[in-house]
Amino acid sequence: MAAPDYPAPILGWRGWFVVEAGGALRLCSIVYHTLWPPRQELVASCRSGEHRLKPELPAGHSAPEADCRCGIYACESAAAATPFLNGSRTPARQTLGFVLGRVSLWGKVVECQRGWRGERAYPTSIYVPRLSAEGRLLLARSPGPETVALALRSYGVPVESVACESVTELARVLASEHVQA
Amino acid sequence: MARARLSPTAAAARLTGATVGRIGRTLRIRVMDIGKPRRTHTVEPLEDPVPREVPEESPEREEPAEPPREPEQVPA
Repeated sequence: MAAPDYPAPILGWRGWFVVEAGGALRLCSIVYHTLWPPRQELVASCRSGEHRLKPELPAGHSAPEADCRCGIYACESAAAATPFLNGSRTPARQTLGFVLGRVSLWGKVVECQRGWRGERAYPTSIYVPRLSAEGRLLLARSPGPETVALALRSYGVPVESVACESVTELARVLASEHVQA
Repeated sequence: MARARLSPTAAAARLTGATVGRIGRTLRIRVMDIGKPRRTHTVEPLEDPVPREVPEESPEREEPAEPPREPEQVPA
């Protein structure tokens, strides 16, 4: 059996929807609306066939595969993780907001030009945008950033709300903080 | 004049600054683009990245080991 390449998880950035599920607030993947369970890693499976008439590889292969597009995505920067919405599906109906965060990837990880696709993943920190009045208007159903932040502490990782005008500005703030750190 | 209510996708696009185009009746926003694959790694963390245990809440008041005794009558 080959020795692992890295003894620590790869850290990337990604965005999530925040949705209501089973009476609790949960992180939800953007494209496939997969719920991220608290205190348990998410394990990738290939679902390319659900979106493509001609998937790159036959169904049933392990995820991620370099020749496919499957796996749990993470970007190398917060800014790259913001235009994350795939319009071929609208956000989940239960969507209450959007958050950015850092995510650990491990297991089999495909390194790409500007990010990674991983086999296993778990958030390591979550940043909730504390939006301006206009942003709050756009997310009229949201219970508010402090309530969202409190609820997402069920993941057992640091959760912080950050004042900003938009998620794009949130990414800029986080980028500057992580450069300074 | 009342503002038109945005769909969740349009609201998301406004908040994220994503590029939006209309395809049929569906709004399409650019998917997260991480580029082409370069190499594959095997990552086995020495420490579990998942905080699996829910921290136990400390009890606010512990039960006394013995019930409090009645004050004894002491001769003055």
